[in-house]
Amino acid sequence: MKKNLHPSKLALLTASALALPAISQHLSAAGPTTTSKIKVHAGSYQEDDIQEEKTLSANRGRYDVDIGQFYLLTPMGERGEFTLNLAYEKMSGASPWFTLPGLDGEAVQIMSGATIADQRTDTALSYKHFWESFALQVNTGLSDEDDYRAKNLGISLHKELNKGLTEFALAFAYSRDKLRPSDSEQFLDRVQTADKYLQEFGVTLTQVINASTIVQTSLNYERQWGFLSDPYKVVFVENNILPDSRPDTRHAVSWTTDMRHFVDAANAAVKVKYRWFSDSWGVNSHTLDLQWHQNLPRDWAIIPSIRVYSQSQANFFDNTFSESSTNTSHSNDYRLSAYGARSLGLEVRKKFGSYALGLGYKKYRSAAEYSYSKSPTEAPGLVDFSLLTLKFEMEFF
Amino acid sequence: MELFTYAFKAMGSPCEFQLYCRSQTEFNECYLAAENEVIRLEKKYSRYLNDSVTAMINSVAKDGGSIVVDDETSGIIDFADQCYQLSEGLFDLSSGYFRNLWNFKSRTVPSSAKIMEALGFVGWSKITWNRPTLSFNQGGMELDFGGCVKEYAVDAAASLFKTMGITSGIIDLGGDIAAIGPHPDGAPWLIGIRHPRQKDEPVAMIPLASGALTSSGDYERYFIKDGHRYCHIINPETGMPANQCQSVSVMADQAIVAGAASTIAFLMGSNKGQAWLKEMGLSYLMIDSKGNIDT
Repeated sequence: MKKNLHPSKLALLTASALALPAISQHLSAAGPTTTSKIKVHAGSYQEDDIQEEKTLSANRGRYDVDIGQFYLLTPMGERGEFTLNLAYEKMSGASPWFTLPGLDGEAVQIMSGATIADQRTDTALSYKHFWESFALQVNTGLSDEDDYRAKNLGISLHKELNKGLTEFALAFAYSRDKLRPSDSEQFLDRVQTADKYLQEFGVTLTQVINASTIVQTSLNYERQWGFLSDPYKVVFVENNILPDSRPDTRHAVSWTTDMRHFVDAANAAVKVKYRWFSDSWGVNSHTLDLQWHQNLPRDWAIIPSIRVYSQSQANFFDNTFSESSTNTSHSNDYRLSAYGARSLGLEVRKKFGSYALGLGYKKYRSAAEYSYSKSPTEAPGLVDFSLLTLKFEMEFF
Repeated sequence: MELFTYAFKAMGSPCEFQLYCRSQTEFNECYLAAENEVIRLEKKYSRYLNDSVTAMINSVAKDGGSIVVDDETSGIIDFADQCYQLSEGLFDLSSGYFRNLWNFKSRTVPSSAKIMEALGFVGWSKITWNRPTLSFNQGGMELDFGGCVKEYAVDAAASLFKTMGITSGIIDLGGDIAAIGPHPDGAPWLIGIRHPRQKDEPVAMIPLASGALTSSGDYERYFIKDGHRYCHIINPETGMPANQCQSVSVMADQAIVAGAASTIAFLMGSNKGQAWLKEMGLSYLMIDSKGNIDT
């Protein structure tokens, strides 16, 4: 028997078959996965060296991270499914420390002197239980680094409506992070221990438009409080060095909409995702993701993607401060500056029956001039990076 | 997990469920629910029961006029309507009239005049379908849901078993087959494709782990007269039985899709049928009139 990849007419026919009540009424009842899936990803994240004219540090190297990820989804009992996510990251390199006014008036970045070496392990578990037309999911996670430990707990309720074509979900998450910055005995103004907290509420609506189009939109609110500053960063105020200091609360709202559509004529799927974000620190951002998943003969696929990002700067961000311009909050962290970023990605995948292999590459560039903000102040620490990922995935009964 | 089997007769065919269940009690619950569902559909669409939906539609079709049909029937008509479009008119619910023309018991070939007359009462284009209203623009017509109800029942049973927690099993309603996941050890079910000319000799064994497999063949109901084989699958454009294939088996996610596709390809004949199945992206096994196998 031969398999051919041209599902346009078939997709139409399948859609009308699936609309038949004796097929759809049983299918629409939410159900756990019937197969197990395993994904193993190995990645190499490499930040480009900081440009010579933007730093006074002799060593211009930045962060490198080796990434290992494991994912398992499996049925549990008759009405449940279980997900396990493990991640391991090994980081090394230097990161931006503070900025100084340069000779020509442009700010320059001072990098952390010693090479930082750290590792992070991340464990996340979730269980989802299905009833006739709704499901309840609970999840918990633990992230552990030498100087950082985060615990989180979440719960979400999913309700199917309209014969399973519509799903409405409510989610709540809470996390508590504990910081124990290293070398705090050397740097007297570095905090020794601190806590920060996060609460998040979200509502999501998913709608199946037809056999080849699905749209999802969600609204999220989050509140962070506690020690939200970066313990490793400092600002230079005239002749004083002061620790990075941010407000101790942050409220943020975000709205995300994405659409996936199967383009029959091209045997390809297109994904478009837009996210708007706004917080009480004055950071507003827009993110647009586009991905084209092109199926090719012999179970090959090629997936180009593009991401465009723009944010405005936080109210208390600047590269340099004077006694009169600083108040209780101040930071020169490039991540709070006005900047934009563009990334391009390409992944090649090949399926071998129930196995799949993929190789992906992503290049990310950020710059103040990519931001939609008017006359942004460019932070010299803005990062460019590349990410290479090898993926192995399998599905089994 | 243990494999349980239940055989019964429905829709004029031998039927069988084979399911892996934890206990006999669990299996009994499953097969009874599915058998009831199959019988519900058989009664609802029977041509022989006076209170069936088919009988009610045909009482209107006889004199011309309109009838409002229920949601499920609307779904089947929508599906058939789409098959009609996709097959350039070969898949036609109004082919029901041909049972008055071709009688497989008396084994007579109708005259050209009779065929011409019958063609006047066949044709989906003579019917207006405006969900949920079906209007027969002329009298004397007849609908037959036989071309999709058995396959629909296979899908309904499969869907029911899945919601009851079955992850491994097979449904066979008179040769229309669906698998709900492979055997617990991961091995697929092996489905024998019947040799069109030697009843008990499979011509191929097809592995099926999930999805459906159905066949249309000239061996199901037929007669041979003057060296010609006349089978029950009638071309609605010519009024004559299709004769370019011995059998067509098709795999698809749903039995109703596989069943419609195998009928359409059988009617199209070997070359056009194969090209059509390829265009649809469906796996198939076709045996042409000379007995050549193509996949």
